[in-house]
Amino acid sequence: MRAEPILILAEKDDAVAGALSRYARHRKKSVDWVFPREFWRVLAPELRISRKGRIQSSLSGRRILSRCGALRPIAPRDWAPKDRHYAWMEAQAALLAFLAAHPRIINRPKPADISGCGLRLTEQFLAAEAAGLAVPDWTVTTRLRAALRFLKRHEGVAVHRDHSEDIYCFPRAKRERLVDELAGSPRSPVLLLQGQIGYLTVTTFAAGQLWHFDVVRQKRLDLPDAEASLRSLFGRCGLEFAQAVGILPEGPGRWVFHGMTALPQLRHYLPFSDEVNEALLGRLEEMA
Amino acid sequence: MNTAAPPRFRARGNGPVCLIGVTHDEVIGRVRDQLAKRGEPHFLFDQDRFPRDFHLEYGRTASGRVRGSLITPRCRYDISSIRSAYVRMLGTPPPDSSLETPDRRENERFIALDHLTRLWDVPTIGLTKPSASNFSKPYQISRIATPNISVPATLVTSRPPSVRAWEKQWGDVSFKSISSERSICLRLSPPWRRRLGCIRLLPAQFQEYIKGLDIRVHVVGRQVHALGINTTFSDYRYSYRYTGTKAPMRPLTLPREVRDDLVRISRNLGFVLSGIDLRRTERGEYFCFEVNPLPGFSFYDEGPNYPIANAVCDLLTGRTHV
Repeated sequence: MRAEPILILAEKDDAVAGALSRYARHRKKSVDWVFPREFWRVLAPELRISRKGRIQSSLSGRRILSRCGALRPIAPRDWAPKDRHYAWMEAQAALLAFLAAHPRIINRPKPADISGCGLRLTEQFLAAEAAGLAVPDWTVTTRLRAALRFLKRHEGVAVHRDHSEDIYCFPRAKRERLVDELAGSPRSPVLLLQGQIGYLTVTTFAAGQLWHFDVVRQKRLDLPDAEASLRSLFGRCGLEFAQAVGILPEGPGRWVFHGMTALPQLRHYLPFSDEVNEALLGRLEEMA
Repeated sequence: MNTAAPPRFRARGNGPVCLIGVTHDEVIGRVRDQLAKRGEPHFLFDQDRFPRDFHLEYGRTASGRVRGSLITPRCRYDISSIRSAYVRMLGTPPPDSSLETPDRRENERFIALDHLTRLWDVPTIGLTKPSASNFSKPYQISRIATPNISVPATLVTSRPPSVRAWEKQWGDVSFKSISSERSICLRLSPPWRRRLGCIRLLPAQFQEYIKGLDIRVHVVGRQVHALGINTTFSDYRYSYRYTGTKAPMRPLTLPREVRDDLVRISRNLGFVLSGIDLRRTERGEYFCFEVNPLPGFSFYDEGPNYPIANAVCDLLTGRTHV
């Protein structure tokens, strides 16, 4: 029986989805790329749950690569302002229920995270440490005094406003700038990370394989010490396609884990994109 | 990490019990009153006044554990001294919405507190683990059927013809929200049937309508508190809105095997305290509709000594454990 086309669920501007679908077509594999917001309209899938909790999906034959983070806001033309939040929540919950129940999927969502990662940054540090990786010192505080104490302990501090993805780095010598930054939004909680000097690295994990890349020097890396721990971390999080960022010290020292995502970015593995695409396609085909 | 082990809860030491929530929440108020009556040390970390008057500091120690303090206007509490905690933050943004909601500071505030309660080792009642979410109802009900408790047959669809076929198959059908947003559970009556085309824009959840007695259960640790509710409404919670009176409720004793299954359901979802909506048919079958990890139990907690609030206090103070 002919396998149904692979389904990539990703936003229109998703470079990873673009590269994978081009690669798959080049390999004469059939791929459908559907935007998450269009999912119900285009595919009209159905989910049936029996009295004993058995789930049946109308798309169960499809193999899915999900690149869904939070859904984009509901378009103003579709919903009255008072209904937009409700509609957005419903769309997100329906997609989560569908993807979590789907039998053939890369990066199955977690109950509280549709991307599949399920861990916030501080939880990632604890999980990484438990997997045997080095992590930076960190603290969360609403008090400037505590922030300054933290800065005293370290050469520099990175201020992370959770979920903003903005990280501002302040070397100890620029203490006043840190004070200004924190005083600018008084008492809003901030996550402070130990600043580190070294090379920014990105590790891409796809279907059991790892690729390490030195972003600063633009070269492939080997991280033999971290290899087993990273595999263990991704495995424990139930991820099959993920990326970890870290810092490699200039001199001797261990690679330090600085976070991970279940939504890898293509620019961080461009030199190996064919290898990664091959691994992903291979994994999706195995699921048939 | 992703497969939640059933939660254990055993209060530690004799330190204060920490309540995280808002002062105007009746549930928090009732637990606070009971703790005060018992003379148990406790404090409220007021979510509304954080971080204006209430502060926190936490981080990782050299041994890899999370340590820190909660700071109220009166006192600083070291996390390691806290006996247990009851977290009932209101206005909780769903985890994935953080990028999209306009009030980022509100989210940062919430997330900082939520992080702490996920990471600390204080025995905690409340929504503290990502696995414990009821963010998606179909996701949740697919995990709660047991040998003695069924779930209503459910269809999630954006196709009106499928709903019509479903209605033919099951007879009466009801519908409600898919997400954790509160909605009224309604029967699919002719006026709603005429509006079925709306689901093409957004899927909805349809369930076979189960006739029977509404039962609200609160599982507190291993204790099961059940109330039978006499109502003709498809959603008994809204009886007050339409009739001006609360639907009459009376304590019920459930069969042992059903009680055991309810405790198992609650624990398997990662909850120490939960509110469970059940219905018992005339044939004596039990159906579970939803498990609420943050039950507003004050609505149901009647009778002498507020049995649910007291059972919560027993856990918080170490009189009972799971």
